[in-house]
Amino acid sequence: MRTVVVTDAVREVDGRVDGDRLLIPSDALAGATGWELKPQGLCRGDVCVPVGDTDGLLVDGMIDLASLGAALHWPTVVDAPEGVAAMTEPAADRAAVLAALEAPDFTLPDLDGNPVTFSTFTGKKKLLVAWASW
Amino acid sequence: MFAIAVDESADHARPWVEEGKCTFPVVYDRDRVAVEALGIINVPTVLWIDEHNRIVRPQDAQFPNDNLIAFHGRASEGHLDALRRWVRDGEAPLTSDEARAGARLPSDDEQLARAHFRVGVQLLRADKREAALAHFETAGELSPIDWTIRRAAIALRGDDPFFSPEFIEMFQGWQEAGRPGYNLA
Repeated sequence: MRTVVVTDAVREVDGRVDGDRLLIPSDALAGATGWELKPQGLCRGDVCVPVGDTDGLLVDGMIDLASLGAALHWPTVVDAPEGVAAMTEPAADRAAVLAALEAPDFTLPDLDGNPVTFSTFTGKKKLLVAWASW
Repeated sequence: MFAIAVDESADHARPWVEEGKCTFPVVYDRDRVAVEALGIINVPTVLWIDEHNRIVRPQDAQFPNDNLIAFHGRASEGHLDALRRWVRDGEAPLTSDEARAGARLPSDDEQLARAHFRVGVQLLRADKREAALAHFETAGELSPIDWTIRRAAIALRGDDPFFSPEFIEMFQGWQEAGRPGYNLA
């Protein structure tokens, strides 16, 4: 079934519901989440997280998204019946970046839909303003 | 200036951008990507970010004028004066230690609330309203002081983000919690 996985972006994969579990193909894991399952554990870039219970993570060769979140210690919400899951960075990781006073880079659409990358403005002082219509 | 509209669509933001005749970049963050990365929990929130992408003044609620001061109690003048001194004279608003101390850091519950919110907006976009509202409700319970979740959800479900009972209750709770997001003097 069409499965939506939201991390730092919204991605769609062809997943499967198994009871209250939401499974995605292991070869779709990297594309959907940025994480790869390797012999040394779950890896993203230079970071690898050892995985103890691979049985919980792998179900019929597919990745169980709730177990993935648990293995990574990433706050994770899985709505299996609806085929939607979202994962966020652990607070400690986010806090480390913010406390180091490093501005994170991001790319978002302008009002015409053109992507704008914040780091394009490196070299200028920025007043970043978050606002809303509501 | 670099503006991020914490809104569901470009059309929500457009009337304000057109009326303000904005000449600076304006993007919108429907999935709260930059909002989460920057640890933003309220609007309007400002951060000062220098030429090397260092945060010299962390996230803090500030206003361009005093039109709504009876509501929020934040005078704009001190912030705007300090901003001019930083831009024109390079005067840092805070020491690095002060900026670090002023940075508001998230909790795991707040991060989990963001995940629930993201699932909720996906469901709402797919016209699964009931399932969406359940996730918004849980998100609000996990992070009751986060306006980008709770007040945004009031608007997303079609209720009044100014006068609905839930917003009034949220506003009172937020005040009792010490007005989180209003970090710096």
